[in-house]
Amino acid sequence: MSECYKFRESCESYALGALEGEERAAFEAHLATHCEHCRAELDRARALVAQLAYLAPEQAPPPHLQNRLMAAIAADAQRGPAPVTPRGSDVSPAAWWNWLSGLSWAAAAAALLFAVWTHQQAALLEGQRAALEIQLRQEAARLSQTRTELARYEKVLAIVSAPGTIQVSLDPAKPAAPRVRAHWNEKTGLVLTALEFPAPEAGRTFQLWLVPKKGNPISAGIFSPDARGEVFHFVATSARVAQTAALAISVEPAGGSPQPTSTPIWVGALPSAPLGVTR
Amino acid sequence: MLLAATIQMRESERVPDAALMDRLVRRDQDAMEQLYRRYSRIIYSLALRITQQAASAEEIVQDVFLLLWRNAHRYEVSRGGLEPWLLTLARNRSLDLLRMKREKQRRREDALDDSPVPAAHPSAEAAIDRQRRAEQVRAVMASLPAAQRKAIELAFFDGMTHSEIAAALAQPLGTVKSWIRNGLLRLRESLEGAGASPAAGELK
Repeated sequence: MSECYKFRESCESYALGALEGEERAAFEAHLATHCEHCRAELDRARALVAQLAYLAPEQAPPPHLQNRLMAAIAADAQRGPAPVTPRGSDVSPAAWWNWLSGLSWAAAAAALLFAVWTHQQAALLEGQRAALEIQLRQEAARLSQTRTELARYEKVLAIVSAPGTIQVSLDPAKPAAPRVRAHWNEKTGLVLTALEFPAPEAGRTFQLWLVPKKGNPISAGIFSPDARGEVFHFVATSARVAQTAALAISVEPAGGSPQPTSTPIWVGALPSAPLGVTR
Repeated sequence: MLLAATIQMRESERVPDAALMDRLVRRDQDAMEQLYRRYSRIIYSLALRITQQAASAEEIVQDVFLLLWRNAHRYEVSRGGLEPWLLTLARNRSLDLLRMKREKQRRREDALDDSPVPAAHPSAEAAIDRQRRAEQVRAVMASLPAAQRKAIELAFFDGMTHSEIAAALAQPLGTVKSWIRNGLLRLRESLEGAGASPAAGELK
């Protein structure tokens, strides 16, 4: 205590970290004698020096930082209580500051890194799980689509490959429109196929007509291309090939019409050759 | 909206640090959020001023608050305010990073990164008394002769010792020592003389 006056000028420089060499060593040796007076002076000097932080240009931390920190803290809170050191069990009143000055950054950083890492790992795994779930759902959708396509091709094949099937080409009235084909077998049905087929305008649909040699056109159903522009339109009809002159496709209001309300865009005459003769 | 947020901020500012620290010991995450709102700005600003790198400053803010969270039970009100403790922690950590960076650069013989710190934005949410104290610190420092102010800044923000500052400023060692000491004493007089601010009281 008697030598304290010697260090009156050292406190602030020591707190600032500017004190060096012998002066620093002497002051630290004095502090090691547990001089309460100088320790209190040092606390005061540290608090004063800390105020210099306000000389730094003010800058708000990025908003994501708070989220990241609170997430790490929530993860840490779940791991259980803080390291058990009851308050006040440390008899030295300087524990708070001393803990700070004696803090091993490497150990502290390792503990923190682990906390953050654990949190990030959990987030990463959760992300991977979600990604796999999405992938699974996509695979299931793809499988179901493949099954649908397979069933469709089997149906097409049943019509196309059956004996007595006729093929009709429907030529578009507009040169830019795609060609449409029909395969018709009186026993297995009719299928209309097309690629790169345009989607109908809003509130409209395409409708297939069987045009008999005598009488009014008979509706063979409405259809639209799928998302890829493909048309597979199956028709079960009791109409007879021999009594049909042509197939035609017109654009009709959604839901279809009992009789065509517009000029057909695609028309294909049935082959005049008798049944059973393949072209 | 901004006004409401400001008022809310001032309300929360009235909860004493010690009360929040008590809640922190009980692992109250809400108390943590309040302390973050109260001190993250100054800690980030300080770390950015020292390290000159946003990524480093973010890391330091996170480190400081995580350390506070995990060591709240060590906090003792009698040992002075939470704010100087947090700022000292942030400064030590920043200077550690700065020294590591310089060591690396020395090895690479690279030039020092002198990228300027972006301009300050006036804070709408800072508590009034802390704002006033900050202005006081700036005013006292601005009133010092440029070389004296520079000496204190080199010590605080760059972690230089007396002799390093003397070399950097080409001044006698004794001059540098008394500049720093007298500058800090003037700051103390100003802050303690103000009296009205509760935080200044903690400095006594």
